[in-house]
Amino acid sequence: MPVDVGAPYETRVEQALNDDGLRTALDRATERLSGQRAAAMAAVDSQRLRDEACCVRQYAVEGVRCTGPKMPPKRGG
Amino acid sequence: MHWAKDAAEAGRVIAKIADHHGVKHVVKSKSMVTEEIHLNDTLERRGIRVVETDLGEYIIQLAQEPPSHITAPVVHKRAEDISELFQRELGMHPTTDAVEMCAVARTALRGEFLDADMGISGCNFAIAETGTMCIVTNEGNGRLVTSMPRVYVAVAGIEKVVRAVDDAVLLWQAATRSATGQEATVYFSMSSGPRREGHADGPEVMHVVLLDNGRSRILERGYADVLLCIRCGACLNGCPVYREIGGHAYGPTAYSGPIGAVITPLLADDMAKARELPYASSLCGACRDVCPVKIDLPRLLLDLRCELAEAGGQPAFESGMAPLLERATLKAYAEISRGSRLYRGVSKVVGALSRLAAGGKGKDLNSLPPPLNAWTRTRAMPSLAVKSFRKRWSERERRTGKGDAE
Repeated sequence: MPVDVGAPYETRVEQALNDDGLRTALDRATERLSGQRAAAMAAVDSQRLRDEACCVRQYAVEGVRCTGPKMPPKRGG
Repeated sequence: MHWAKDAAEAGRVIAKIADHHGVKHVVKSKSMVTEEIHLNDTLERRGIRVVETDLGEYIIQLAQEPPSHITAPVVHKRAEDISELFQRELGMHPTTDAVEMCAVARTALRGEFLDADMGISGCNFAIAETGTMCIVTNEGNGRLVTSMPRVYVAVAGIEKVVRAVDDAVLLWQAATRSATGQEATVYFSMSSGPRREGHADGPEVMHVVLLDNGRSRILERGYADVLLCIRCGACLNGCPVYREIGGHAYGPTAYSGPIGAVITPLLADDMAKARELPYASSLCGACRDVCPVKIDLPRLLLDLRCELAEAGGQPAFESGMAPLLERATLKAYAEISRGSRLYRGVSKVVGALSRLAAGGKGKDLNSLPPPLNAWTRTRAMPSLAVKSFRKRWSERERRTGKGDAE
């Protein structure tokens, strides 16, 4: 493995930066995934989707505290 | 239903279930939470054979590497690397054709599904209303893991529980669009219990392990927002730091990228073990902009840095300069930046020097004197452009008749 995950942080970073194969793989994959995400989000009301998803998750996390706030109405409600 | 306060307890619970049912062979669906608790190691130490069945996880298991991305664990490998691995481990003939390579993996995995005694999965969403564990996959392996072996164990972080099916479906949409840009994943598998009378398939026994492993502590410390994460990996794909160094540079952690830089130190008993990670960010905000649940990761990173500084430790990184020199440099920079005329003058001089050192305009500087050589040791520094942004802007304004911007 080109990057030794057990090595100190600065060594790991240096190993990663010196690994041309890794850079190629990361460039290909992150470009593609970011582009696909942008297109998929542009096809919907992304702000609304993110707001609603955030709201659902906040309710779930508050549930862990067992002091859940009042849940807003369900979608479309 | 089991409650595990930490990784050790989760390992004990699952090992006990395995012992009780005489399990010797486990198939797993992709699960970050089981990576977090190193479940494979725990089971393998007890003589249980564990096989990952998500293609990416299967590849890194064969390569004996940890995942380097939350949703795409093998993102650090090129097709050529995977081909070499399959030739060595699975006896595949030389090819880099993705369809052929997938067929080889599929053939190898079919036997594992048929032979396994226990299936283990993580959980994308646990629905409180129906007691349903949901997993989303694109390969169908999740469905086989949860229904073919006679024993099924789902492991979920305690923050994964949502109220109702509608909530899970909404999060599914947000996660899928953010992770891969799909409208929906190919599979959305829901498990609400073991096989019942009259059912054609499903496990004889189903267990759910709810894992705390530091999550309650994270809530108490005021970092609740990090628990909003739905593990889509969008923040990794957008992060300029992750895009340069990949996931393994974040160390032996299940979570890399901006979310990993926050959650790994928080999950660790001792934050000093991962003290560098909060500094592994330029704080540009790209992660916050793409997060489907709007986690303000830069703020959380700053909060962690603040905690580390208040704890009195040394900064995680040395700039390569003596503190006095560093302070003097920053002070000089502040003075230069305050005056427009001075800034322009200094920019001109530095720009000309950088082009001279690089050997011409548009060329890169490949070596710089200390302490700036910390940059050029591993990458090139572009020389400054002949025409600065301010100059271009000013020209543009004049062209469009809006006067001098400066």
